[in-house]
Amino acid sequence: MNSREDYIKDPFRKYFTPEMSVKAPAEFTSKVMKKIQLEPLSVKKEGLLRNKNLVPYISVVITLILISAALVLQGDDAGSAAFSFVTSLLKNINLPLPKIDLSSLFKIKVPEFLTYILIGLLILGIFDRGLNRLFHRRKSQ
Amino acid sequence: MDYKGDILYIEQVLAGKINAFSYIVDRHKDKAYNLAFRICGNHEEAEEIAQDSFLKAYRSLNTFQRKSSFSTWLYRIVYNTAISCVRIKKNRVLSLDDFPSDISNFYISNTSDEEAEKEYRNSLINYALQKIDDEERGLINLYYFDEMSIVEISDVTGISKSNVKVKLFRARQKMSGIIELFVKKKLIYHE
Repeated sequence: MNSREDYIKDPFRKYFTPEMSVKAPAEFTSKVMKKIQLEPLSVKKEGLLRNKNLVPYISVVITLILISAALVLQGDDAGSAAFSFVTSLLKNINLPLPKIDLSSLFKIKVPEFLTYILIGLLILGIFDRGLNRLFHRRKSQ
Repeated sequence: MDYKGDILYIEQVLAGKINAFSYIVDRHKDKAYNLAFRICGNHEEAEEIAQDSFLKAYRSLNTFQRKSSFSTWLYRIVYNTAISCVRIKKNRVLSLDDFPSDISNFYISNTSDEEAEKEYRNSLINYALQKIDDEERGLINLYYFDEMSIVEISDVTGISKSNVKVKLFRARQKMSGIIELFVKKKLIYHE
């Protein structure tokens, strides 16, 4: 029964007449529109989050930037080329920046394995997101 | 189903013209309401389901990916809302509004009248429709009232094409059996 001809030939069809269909009440559209007016921003709000699927990818990029920045900007006194460039730039501008003593903050020692755990969690998160999108593709339509 | 017309109004709604949604509601309200009514069998619930479905459609309009037509997408929402609603109220009493109250007198006195016979036949179909499963009733409605193809029904319901065919076949068989039994009973009663 997948072709139009089969449908037309179907002996059962003649029993389903258009007058058997029920119609929506007269005030139906206005009732729906009243309800919609109560939440006028919902479509727009969701529109702002249209690219919410990009959030994990953006966070990955930011994390990678932070990790590479941490590698480039060494904590030792000598500093890297990039760090010395920044300091020399600040000196040239001659901007009197307030000095904040962060020595006590950098004394905190984080165990090495924690970094690996965090990176692992990040990778698993991306993997999970990818699988989620793959298996729920039909539902989203 | 005017696909381009729907898209035009959808774009207007997404651009912030909320009132454009009323055109979408107007276009699809009867079919949405009919589908909801056929599944739940009650006018009040059908209105609630249809309204709820339009609200759901409005809220997630930006997720409509335009891979299928808007009507297919909307009927999927209506179908799922109605099916989940009747599953919650599984033990409800079905309304028999559309069935003549005094069927025996009606049958005997009006058989010669063509209009009355047509009405009686419609009542029998409605009666049989109320006796089959909610899901089957939904499928029968989509196939016969909305004249959807098997592919479209499969898109709306999420049931595979072969399964739609099987379920439709079973629903027809059940309905025939119900009508046959009902008519036999009435004939015995009047003999």
